Amino acid sequence: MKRLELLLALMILGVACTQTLPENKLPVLGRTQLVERIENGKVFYDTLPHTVKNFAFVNQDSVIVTNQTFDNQVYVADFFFTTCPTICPKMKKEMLRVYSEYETNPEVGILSHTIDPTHDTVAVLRDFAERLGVSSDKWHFVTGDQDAIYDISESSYMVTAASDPNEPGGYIHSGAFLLVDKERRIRGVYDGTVPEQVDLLIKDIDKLLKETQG
Amino acid sequence: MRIIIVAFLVFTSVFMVQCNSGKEAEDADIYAGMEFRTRIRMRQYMVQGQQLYQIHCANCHGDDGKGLGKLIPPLAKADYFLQDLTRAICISRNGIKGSMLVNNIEYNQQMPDHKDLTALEIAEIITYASNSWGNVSGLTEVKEVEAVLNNCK
Repeated sequence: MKRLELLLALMILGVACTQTLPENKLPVLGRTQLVERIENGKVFYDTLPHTVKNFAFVNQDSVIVTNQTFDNQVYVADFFFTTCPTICPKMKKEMLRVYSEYETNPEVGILSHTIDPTHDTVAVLRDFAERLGVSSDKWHFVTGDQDAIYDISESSYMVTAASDPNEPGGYIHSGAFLLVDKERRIRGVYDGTVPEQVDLLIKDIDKLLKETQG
Repeated sequence: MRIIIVAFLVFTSVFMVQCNSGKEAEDADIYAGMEFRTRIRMRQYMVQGQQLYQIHCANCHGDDGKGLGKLIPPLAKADYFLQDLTRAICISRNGIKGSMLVNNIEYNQQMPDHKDLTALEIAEIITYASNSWGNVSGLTEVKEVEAVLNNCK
């Protein structure tokens, strides 16, 4: 009988512990910015988080994609090119897992930037997306001005993308997946070529979605 | 208590025997009817081939040989690959461009060349890929590959 009571007590304790544990939030990544603000003659300093700056690219349906496209979505961003012989197919295979996981969830989007806009026109991206079997309202493959793409990769997403004739395929780029929240903040960086990292990304997306719900 | 332990041991040993026999059966298929020496060589090719496949092929064709959507064709149970290994040897070395039909699906993605691969390495890769994921095509020897590579278009 005593044993039973002890067991019961432990169970209650277990439930209590899981309930009282604070939900661990994902970190906000990037360098914060200190901004001066004057209100009623007094000087205030605001610490602003690093955010993805304004962008406008064109997706595989010739539709313009901007920050507003992801207003009510958390999204995963990456950089690739369709003729990439190295890590891209692996990245796309892994991203396809993210896509399948959230195919029916309107709160999650995917944004893949080509770093070879000369070759990867809208038509090429459209063919690519169709062959991958994905729909454009969930997964945007975007092209645009090459400098604008390189610039946003480094200034907003903090990853490398550049042309380099010594690399196979002619470009050097990071295989990272970036998780962005509804306030344009970067909340996670994952290696898109490693399945375990993408498992973690999927867990973190769930975590992020819960965070914004409550 | 003793009965439970005995039962557990019996259960696990039965389980292990079953697992091992399953593995043996899988191996047996691709080595079926081979002479001892060929079998040894084939095993060497399979081990080397797997490592080379991981380095040179798996990024696109996948660890499972299934390719990627309608972008990159599969190698697993793929008619285009298995029906003409001579062609596959040339493609491994020289790459390929343009449209192709694999298991009745059209693919059109350029494959890069691999000029750095030696005839032996190609033999090992072809042997590995044509004897994995349900493929059973026997050993592709380095001599065959050398002869084929001299006659690639």
